[in-house]
Amino acid sequence: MGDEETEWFDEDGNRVDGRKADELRETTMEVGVLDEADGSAMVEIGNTRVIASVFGPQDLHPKHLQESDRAVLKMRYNMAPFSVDDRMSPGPNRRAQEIELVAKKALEPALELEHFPTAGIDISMEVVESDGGTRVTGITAASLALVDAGIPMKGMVSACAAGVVDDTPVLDVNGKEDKEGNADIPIATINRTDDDTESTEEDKITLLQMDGDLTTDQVDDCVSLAKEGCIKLYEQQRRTIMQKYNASEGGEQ
Amino acid sequence: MSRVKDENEIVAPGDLLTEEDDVRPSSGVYAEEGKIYSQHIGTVKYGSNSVRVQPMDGRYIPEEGDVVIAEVTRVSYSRWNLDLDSAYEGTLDISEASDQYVDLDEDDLTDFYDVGDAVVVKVTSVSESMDVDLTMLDDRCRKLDEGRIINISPHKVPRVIGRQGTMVQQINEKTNCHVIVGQNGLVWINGENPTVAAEAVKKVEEEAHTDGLTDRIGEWIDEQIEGDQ
Repeated sequence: MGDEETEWFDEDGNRVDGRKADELRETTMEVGVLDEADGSAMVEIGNTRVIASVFGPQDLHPKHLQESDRAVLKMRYNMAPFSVDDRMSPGPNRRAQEIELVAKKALEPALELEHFPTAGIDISMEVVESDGGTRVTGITAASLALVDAGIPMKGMVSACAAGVVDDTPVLDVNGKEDKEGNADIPIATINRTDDDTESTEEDKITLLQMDGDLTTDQVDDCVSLAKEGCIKLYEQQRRTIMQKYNASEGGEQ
Repeated sequence: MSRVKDENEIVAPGDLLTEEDDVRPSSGVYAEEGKIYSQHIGTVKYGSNSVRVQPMDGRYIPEEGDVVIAEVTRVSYSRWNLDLDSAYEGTLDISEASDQYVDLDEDDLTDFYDVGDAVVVKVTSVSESMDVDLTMLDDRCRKLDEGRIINISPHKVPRVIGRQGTMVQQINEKTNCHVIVGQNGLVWINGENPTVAAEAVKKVEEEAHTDGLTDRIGEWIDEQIEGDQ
């Protein structure tokens, strides 16, 4: 960051990490990474890595938090001290609280919580490595963990951010683009398939935040870009969870 | 009926199952705008005019009539609280534990069941707010004094029991064990070859969604037992 001006695009239009404007970072997903949790998943997007776990539905304490007609989600978002380049002081902070709240609101509409009156579901998102987009990666991982835990859901929640650097909309901003770019918009959508090949449905947006200043046109561009990113992530989420069972089926023939 | 998926195909939450109007959504699915979607990762089961999804995983939810294996967690004046390995606790009242007269002020309830005891118990009712009432007044119910208890997914219980109990019978006979499968996914095993029986149960759980399982498990147990001798 020594020089004041960053070259955001090279002559071919590639970004600082070599991606095209509408390209996601390399993404890997794994489900069932923790033995003790009812459901768990790890999602790695570029250098951002989040492990999500789900416990429950289970007894919820303190009792005054219980709802008589549905289950209650308890969210936890935590960044490991070693997840950023300088040490991060551990423990909850204002930012973590905000992310817990928006992640809860992003996931809740997809869940059929009325099946479990008075119960609680504990969802934890542990950021092991952070390079931009931890909240969206956390939501993507948490959604996979919820499917793995067998919680009934209307569809899978995928989340992804798009931002603007050098007045150009780009998909899936990395840490540098996030910090030094103009602005970014994280969104989350609920996805379903309407046939085997195509993931469709006027995907429902359950999270939309904006950090920075954008023109209305840029907002539209970012939202449609991020939606496309969500669909790609959804396809990978679905493949990942299916693989867990297809592998065990093929293994012993 | 237009079937988008094959019978027993594995589906994920949000997968379209059928677009027809006259199909009734059964368990594990939901209907929206005339289309039926899956709620779970699981296998599709099409009925004559209904569709459901058998989930792969998930916690046990108590239902009336289930026979489960539970652990006593608390003894109070006239009843016991039992852990059903579920989100909901069960209550066993003294009147449902013994058909003899019990003087609550004289007799000690821990003489029947103490904290930590495992019992086979039947669910008599589940209220809307998920209060679970239990009874011991059923032939299948009893206290479990020895043996071991292992844990499987409650959704795999029907497979471990098998059609008309064939699978569990086979395990019992071949390993010379007594196996009790609770609907809540707890399995009690006692007898001559408990380790083989436990591994067999685990194997059924893992391969629950495959065909020809009963015969394969039978052969597998024979191999294990011969190997030991």
